[in-house]
Amino acid sequence: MGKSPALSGVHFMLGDVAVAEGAIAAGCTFFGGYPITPSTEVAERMALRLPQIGGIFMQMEDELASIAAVLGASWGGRKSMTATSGPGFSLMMESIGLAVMTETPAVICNVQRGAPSTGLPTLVAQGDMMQARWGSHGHYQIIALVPWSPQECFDLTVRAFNLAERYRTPVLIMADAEVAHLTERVVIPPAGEIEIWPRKRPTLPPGPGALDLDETLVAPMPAAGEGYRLMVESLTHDDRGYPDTTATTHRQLVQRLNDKIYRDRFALYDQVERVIDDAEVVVVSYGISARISARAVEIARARGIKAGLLRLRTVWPFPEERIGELSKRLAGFVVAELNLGQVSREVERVAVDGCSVATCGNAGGDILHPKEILEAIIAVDQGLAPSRSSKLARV
Amino acid sequence: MARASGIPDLAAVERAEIRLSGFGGQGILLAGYILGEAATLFSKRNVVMAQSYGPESRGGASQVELILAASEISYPRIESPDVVVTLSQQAYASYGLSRPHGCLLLADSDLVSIDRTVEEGQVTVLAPLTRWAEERLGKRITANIVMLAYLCDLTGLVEASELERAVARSAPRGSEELNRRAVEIGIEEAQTYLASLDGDRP
Repeated sequence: MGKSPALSGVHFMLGDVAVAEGAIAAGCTFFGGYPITPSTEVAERMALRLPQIGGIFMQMEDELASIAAVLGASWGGRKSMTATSGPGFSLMMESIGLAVMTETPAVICNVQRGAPSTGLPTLVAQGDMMQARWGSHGHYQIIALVPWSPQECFDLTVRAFNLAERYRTPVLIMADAEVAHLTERVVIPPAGEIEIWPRKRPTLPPGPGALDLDETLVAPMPAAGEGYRLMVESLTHDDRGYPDTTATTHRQLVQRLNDKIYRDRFALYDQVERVIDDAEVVVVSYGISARISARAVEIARARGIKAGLLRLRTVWPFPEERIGELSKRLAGFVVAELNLGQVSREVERVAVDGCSVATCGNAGGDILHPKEILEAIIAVDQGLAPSRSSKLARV
Repeated sequence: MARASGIPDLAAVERAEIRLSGFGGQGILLAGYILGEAATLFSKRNVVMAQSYGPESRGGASQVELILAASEISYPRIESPDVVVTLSQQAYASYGLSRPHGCLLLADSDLVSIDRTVEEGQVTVLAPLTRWAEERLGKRITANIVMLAYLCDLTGLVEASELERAVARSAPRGSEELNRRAVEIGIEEAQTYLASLDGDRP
């Protein structure tokens, strides 16, 4: 092994750049993309850095080609990624499903901006959270991580690559235009201290049993050209990858694709809780909105309101057990997000009757103000927000 | 705490909020980055920088916000700036006029004409920053570094040595000496200004 390409040290770094550096530190050597605001600096940084370390930066003609190139590079044996924003994310949806079905590790960073359509190119939103969960057709599990700072842009990108390799699945980084364009301290640890999970490779030579599943439900992955005769097939297929479009094989395959992730959800959950123990109102939030929620909770506490913060760093899979358990003893939740209520639907789904769930959000264009979240906290605290059983009051 | 003539002393405050503004091409974003890097790496404060983005940074209005604090900075936007720097008339109109009481305005005196009525009782420092860069260094583009050094010396935001190191990190190869001189000139001019204030005292 040569010298690690990780830029170990303390930096004053842009969020987008930290995503790129996280990828480099995780061993990414292929980026295929079509630059789009507000994710452009990820591509720009990768275009600078990848050639320095023997990697490949490939600007494609559009996002359809970008994601296809990323999946191809992954089957060529490289850790690979792309970065985009809403319009490109929509175009990538079909091939994200292809990655799920063909069990292809890949990292897709979506720096969210105002939408639908081309919407607000330079301004923030968090409106793609449900698209992240369900945007491709079929029933599947997805892993989606959300950074709240440039430091987490680095940390969670490393984690995204690790999870993509471990579960052989696409992993999404659902950043937002605000966090991606903040510049802050980013500490990149010494290379030896950055945990890297390698791809599960075949240990047997090509032949029977070499690519068999084990109890992890994830089979070893060979690279193209290594002599393993494996079909990489988007149709329903058997364990060798051969098309077998029968109900029995289909149910087994889709069940396993779901199980390999959902079964392991407790290892994937990643939330940071603040002053939750005695809280009566808990703000559930993520990304930039969680930073503002932290401030709102501080102000609420200073006023004697027992508020807490549950910040999601993994949004998908959604920590339903923890939220459900909290709902039993809380007056309610405030879900702060830059959309009109997406993750709040999940909170509503798992909260028990009688626990109110208020959405504090807007359609994007600017970040929330702490005062707005504070008002929502006060409303829930005083029992003025709709309880779960009357949630139809919401948009 | 205040320095001479009401200039805020930002050397050791828990939190300082700074807005640098001008038009695209003046190096506003780079100046913000250098200040932020100096405070992050050398004076070990928490810093968050948010910049305006889009076509504005390529010719139109350009601005960058920085918060420097001893503790965690959750809400990343400026709520009540301690300093507003304006290097264009438009920037002054957008950010200078509405600033809170006690907030220092540093404006380029050749590029901005201030509203005397509004500035009555406010803390206002006018300096020909761009002219100094042009006449003393022969390079107009160093005005952002001259400004930064001038501002840091007036307010104590970061120390001269910290600023010098950060400037050196960002200086393109071959321009190190020019940028070092720009810092020197900014400090020199600020010292002259502060001395003139002392002289005014009864």
